[in-house]
Amino acid sequence: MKNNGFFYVGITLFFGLLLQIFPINSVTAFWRPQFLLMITIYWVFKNPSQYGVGFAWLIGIILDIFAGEMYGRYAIGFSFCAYILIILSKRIQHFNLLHQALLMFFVVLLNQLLTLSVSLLYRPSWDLVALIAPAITSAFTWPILLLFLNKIFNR
Amino acid sequence: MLILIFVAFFLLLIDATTQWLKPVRIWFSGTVTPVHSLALFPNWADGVIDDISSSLSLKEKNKLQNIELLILKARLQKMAELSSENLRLRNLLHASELLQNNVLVAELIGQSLDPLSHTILINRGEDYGVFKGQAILDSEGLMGQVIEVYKSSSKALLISDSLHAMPVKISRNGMRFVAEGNGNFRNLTLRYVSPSSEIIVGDLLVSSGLGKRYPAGYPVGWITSINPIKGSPYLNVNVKPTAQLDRSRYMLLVSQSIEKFKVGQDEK
Repeated sequence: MKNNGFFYVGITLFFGLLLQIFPINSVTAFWRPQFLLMITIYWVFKNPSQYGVGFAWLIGIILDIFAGEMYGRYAIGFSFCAYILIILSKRIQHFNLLHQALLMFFVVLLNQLLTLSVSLLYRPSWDLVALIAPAITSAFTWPILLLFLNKIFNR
Repeated sequence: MLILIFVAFFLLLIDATTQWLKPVRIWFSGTVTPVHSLALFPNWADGVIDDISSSLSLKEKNKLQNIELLILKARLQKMAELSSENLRLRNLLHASELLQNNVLVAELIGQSLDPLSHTILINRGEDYGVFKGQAILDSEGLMGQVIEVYKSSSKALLISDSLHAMPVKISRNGMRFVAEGNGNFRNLTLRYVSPSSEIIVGDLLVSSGLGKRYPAGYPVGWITSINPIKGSPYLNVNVKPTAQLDRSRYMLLVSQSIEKFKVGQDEK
């Protein structure tokens, strides 16, 4: 599993997608961590030369298709987050788990900011909870997810 | 690499302003729907556990349901009488024909990823004759309308979405209003209610059938509060939807057909 083939990437992303689209209670939905974004970022971290901005863009488009709203919305968020992370990747390699969780907070916040802002094009509603809540839960989920995925794809 | 971001933004602009991407959406629905159903696996597991554990209590459940059925049937008899009486009275008034509603049962298979948009995915589509604009009910009241129809599923907009507004009337006195969603599942607002209008807290709002989108007479919500707004000539009226917009798993799709004997036909 050293070369993390497309199969494993596909499987993890598929589970991420299922977690992302799984219907939950309307209040909890605001707090749902951005699983798919985090798993995408996991692979971008792991192999930036193979899984870059284009990869993140593609996953974003796939999520857009499943969301069934305006196409391109999540693609913008995902690819921009991947872009920022690839620029910073040299520095991030030395981050410990706590710093990574903090980083994830800002990355998800950026993603939420972008996706919510572009949704203003067709829906005039803005919600502060929808902006911050997924960032908080994602920051808490990231260490668990990272340890879990590292355990499977033994680094 | 940044080009991709611009491509995505361009795609978004196209999608937000034109209908060009609609065929793509319909084409993808074939793949999207099964995955949405797959994501419901905790519900299946729940069903299986339920099947195993409750076979004993099934008899009891059956008994209870039989009683419930009896009560509902008795009520329906009364309804039938009222309905025919209504028809006769309308006949006397030479009013327009009554509409009969046919229903189709549908199940929720997905909800919007974005908690701010109140759309749901249901498991009935073109192959069951679902059409755009069809009204959706649950056991308590109106839930929303179909906005996109795919092959075997369709997307519906709930009445609580901030893009949704529907014509309603007060069942007590027939005053007409527009009920707007505001992105909250437990709250709708009435727009442009003047302080002189005769409404009280606790009034039931039903769909008025104006706009020809929703069938008339289905409950929409209860008025929960009426407050004056400072500096505005209108009142701020909050409505609690009767339907369980974020809870219902099974819902009914309603379609209208004209009832058998048309009233006032001998007049023409």
